[in-house]
Amino acid sequence: MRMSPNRTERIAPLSLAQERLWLLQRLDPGDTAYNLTRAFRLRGALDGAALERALSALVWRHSLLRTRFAEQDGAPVQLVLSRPALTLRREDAPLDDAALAARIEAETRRPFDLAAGPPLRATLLALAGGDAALLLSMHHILSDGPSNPILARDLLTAYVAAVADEEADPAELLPPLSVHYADFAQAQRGEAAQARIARALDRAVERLGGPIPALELPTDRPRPAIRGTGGARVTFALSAPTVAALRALARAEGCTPFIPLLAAWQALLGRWSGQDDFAVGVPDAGREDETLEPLVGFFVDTRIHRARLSPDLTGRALCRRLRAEALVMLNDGAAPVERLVERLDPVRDGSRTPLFQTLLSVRLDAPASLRLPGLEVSPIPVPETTAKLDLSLDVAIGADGADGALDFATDLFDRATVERLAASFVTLLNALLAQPDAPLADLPLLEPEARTAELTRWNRTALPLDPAVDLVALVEHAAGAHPDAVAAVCGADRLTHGALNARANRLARWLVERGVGPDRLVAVALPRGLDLLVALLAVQKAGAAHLPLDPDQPPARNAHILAHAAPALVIDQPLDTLVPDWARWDDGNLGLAVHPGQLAYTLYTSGSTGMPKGVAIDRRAFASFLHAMQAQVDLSADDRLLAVTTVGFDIAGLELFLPLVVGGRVVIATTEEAADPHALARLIDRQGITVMQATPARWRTLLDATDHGWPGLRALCGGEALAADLARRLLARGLRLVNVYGPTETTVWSSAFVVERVERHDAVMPIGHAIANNRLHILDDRLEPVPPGVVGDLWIGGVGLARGYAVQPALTAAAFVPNPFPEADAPGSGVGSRLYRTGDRARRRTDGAIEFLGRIDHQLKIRGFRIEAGEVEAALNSHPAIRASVVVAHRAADGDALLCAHLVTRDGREPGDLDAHLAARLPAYMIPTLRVVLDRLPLNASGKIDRRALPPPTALPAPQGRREPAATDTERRLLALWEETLERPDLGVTDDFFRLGGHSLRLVRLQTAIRGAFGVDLPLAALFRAPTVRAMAALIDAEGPRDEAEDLAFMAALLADEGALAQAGAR
Amino acid sequence: MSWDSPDTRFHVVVNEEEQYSIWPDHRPVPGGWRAVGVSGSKDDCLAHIERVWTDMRPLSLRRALGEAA
Repeated sequence: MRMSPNRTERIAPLSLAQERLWLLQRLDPGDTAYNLTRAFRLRGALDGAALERALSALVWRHSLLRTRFAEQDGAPVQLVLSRPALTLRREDAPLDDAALAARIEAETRRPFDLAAGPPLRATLLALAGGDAALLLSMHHILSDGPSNPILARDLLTAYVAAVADEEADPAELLPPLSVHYADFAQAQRGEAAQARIARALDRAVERLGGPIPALELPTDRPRPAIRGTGGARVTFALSAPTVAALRALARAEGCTPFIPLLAAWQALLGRWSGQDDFAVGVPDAGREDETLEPLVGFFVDTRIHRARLSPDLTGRALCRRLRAEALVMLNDGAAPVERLVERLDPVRDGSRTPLFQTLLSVRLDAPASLRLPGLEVSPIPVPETTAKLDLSLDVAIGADGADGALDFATDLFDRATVERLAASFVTLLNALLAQPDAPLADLPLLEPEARTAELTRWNRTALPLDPAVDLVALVEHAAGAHPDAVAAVCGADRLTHGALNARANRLARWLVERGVGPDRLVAVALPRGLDLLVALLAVQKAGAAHLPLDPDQPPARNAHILAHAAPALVIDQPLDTLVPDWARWDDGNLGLAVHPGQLAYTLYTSGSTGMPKGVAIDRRAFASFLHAMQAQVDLSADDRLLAVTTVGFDIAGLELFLPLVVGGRVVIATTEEAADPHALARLIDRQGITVMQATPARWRTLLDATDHGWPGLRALCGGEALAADLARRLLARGLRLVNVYGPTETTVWSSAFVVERVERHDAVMPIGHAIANNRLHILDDRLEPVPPGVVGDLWIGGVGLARGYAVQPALTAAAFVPNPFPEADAPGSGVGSRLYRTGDRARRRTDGAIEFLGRIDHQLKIRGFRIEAGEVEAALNSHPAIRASVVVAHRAADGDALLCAHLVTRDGREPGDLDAHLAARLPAYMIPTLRVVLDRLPLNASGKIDRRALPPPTALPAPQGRREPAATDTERRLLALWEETLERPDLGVTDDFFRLGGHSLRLVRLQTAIRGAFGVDLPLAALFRAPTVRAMAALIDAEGPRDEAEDLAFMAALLADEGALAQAGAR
Repeated sequence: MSWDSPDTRFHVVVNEEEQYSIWPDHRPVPGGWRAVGVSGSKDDCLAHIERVWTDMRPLSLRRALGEAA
């Protein structure tokens, strides 16, 4: 070999696409997300020397493969070396299959140093059994998907030539190229190309029509503040008939198979996310000039297809639209994606990739093996360990069938979820191809068996009920079994089961004599105490229904309820006053017949109109509920339950009656005790309480006021979402925690989840599974079940359904609708049964447990981002100084919704490091702009947080648009550097760099300028996170320790996009 | 056609307990329910139900209490 010195033959700028990758690599030199690794099995008689010369020939021909990348004057350049710098490394220890797989994976994780030399490695591995494997890896800055066949072809041609002529100079094994990648990069910087790009950009921006909402697929874990690049791959197959149908539809519509695939992918993402507007990236070969076609290089660009779905759009209509879009893009010319990002998404959100978060790439030929003289070459699959996007779909269409691969970000998704997504894609694609004229929203996401499984699998809850065993029978049975056991305690008063039953029997007879009977209402407006319990039980014994009224509620509300419900009788005075001749009435059980459909109680809940509505619950529903909860909580005669909830909230029904039906004891906290966490704690200790039910807010106040544990105390928590931090605290106190969920309309609770541990990424605890005789369905807006993981509306069926809303037939008919999934064996769910629409959003986890995601009408939307308040609250609550928080959307006077956090802190002040705390945990858009510190969160009578009583924030952030002058010397000097870098004189210290036309390269220039002016070397990523003069000046002044790795990850996420991911542009 | 779309037309339906509800008119009525012959917008159907569903007790209960029509 000639040994002339290797020198730089040419210096050229980077292409736009290369520039972005160069920035990424500079930010995180260890990142391997842009490594391209290929492996080939070589079977037969390998001529190693010829292979080495063939590789050399390849690098002679493609000068980009002998190019390194360095920085000159703050800008990257490519330095083309005069001769190849590649050597074929040989590893001779034979590898078995496992060792080979490990070796390949290790190769994918080996970073490249772009400046040190051409980022290209070739390794020849010896394999057990005598074969060899060629491992070729390079940085994406040198290559792309369409380059692969060129590389393969040229390498094989050179190998054949090298085998044939042992003497030939490698430089002459392949003919030289007339055009090189550096020519392309140089031309791209020329005036003509820049003008063409500018025009293409204008047209692309106009076509895309402004900022595009981010695609928010439901994730298995909260999205990290900084996007991670860990990834994995799920593969699936499209059958030969599917591919035939795909080709047929494509033919009929005059397009390539790519178009129906894109239509199905957009439709699937729309259905999965519930969004109708988002973008999908599509790699494009990017070789506009045919002289570029024989080149190896990074040409691939990304076209952006903005999905604008509508409910009645058909598959065929979407195909036609996409085909027209593709034609327009072709005519408009290439608009490099890195420039589009600057135009359309300049304010970067480090939690996700800019512009688009998902990609579809379609290849027309699957790789096949090649035969050479004496050698068979076949590709070895290379595992995917990184993800450049949230989700990328790759489809390789072969002669009979197609191979699909879904690459996903492992920070966000579980493999099982992505497997379901793949299955749904296949189902939806097949349906689209079979019925191209059906609305996309009507196409199934689940195969029939999967649909049935989704409806029934988690709803096998049947618990047979003996119609005779209702509440009264159960209480009377317990009273007979435990007559002398204490049944109820309140303050200094107590009653045994026998005495309670006898007293209720007397009052019941008094009621019957007053004409009270089945389906008649008796209002009970008594203070918390034993009379209250006796009265409620007596109403049931008389066969009537109780209307509970909390005397502490506003009189106007109670008056309204009384007027609306028109009870036959009102009990609002002490029983001894009400019934002066107490002893006159027989104290034996009445033995009245009970129809399961007769009313047990009517309970008024707040309506969305502000007017309470009366939920009418029958005896069967209440009896079934008590049975179900007894099984859930495993209550016995030895248990003592502390009742703290107002009777105006239906969950009090459990507290007052469940102990009575098992012969246990209810300890009724007085109104004063219930409001005082110290008093409650004393009651728990002194009364030997074993079970307590309360809202999360009340549990929180109890924990805040105390510091000791109650090992074994069973804690039912419901009425609002159970935040992870509260669950952790409850578990830490030794409590056995059950999260319960249910609307009043389905009788107190409908689902339960035993909380045994809290995962690090949990924000709120699941509401779990249906309790006995309940069925929970998560449905889309066509009342079809959604796949697990997908967000839908929660509907409930079963025995627990209310009769309806008292005297409000229309309201009832709208909320309780025919059950389209009747099942004969399921109590309350047979033909003719109904489902209740909860108005709550939910989704099912892989293990079947349901996650509650808030009210449909409470969903927060800030600047187009959907935000789960629970996630933000979880991040707030994880701060050690914050005791409780509520996050709401506050609509400012100018109409913009702002995220507002109401906080209760240990010292009554907002923690100084709150911003940093949140920034480390939440994407920027989820960080509350407004904070209000409160002494305590306002609770309503039911113990739930009263959002309407939250005070409005007083201080709003300063309006944008005002130029803030420099306040310090650093700010003044830095401002001058900004003005130089951004080439404009009118800046303020709070203006955002990226809103002012700043982009990544300008930031590199600014970084260099800061180094020169201040002698401070700030990481680029740190500057990215401090995009104002004020923030940067603070960094310069502080020069404090920063977590560099985190900064780099952040920056990488900011820059990352996926054109690079492109496997190929064929379509 | 989605449940909440203002364009969706509904039937008034009733079950054997003479409980009323509504159901989109382009989909088969679930088992155990029958259309009463009134259809229209959701509001029209609900207004009809408000007029005709005067006793909300299920039929079996009314019968048991000896008050069935």
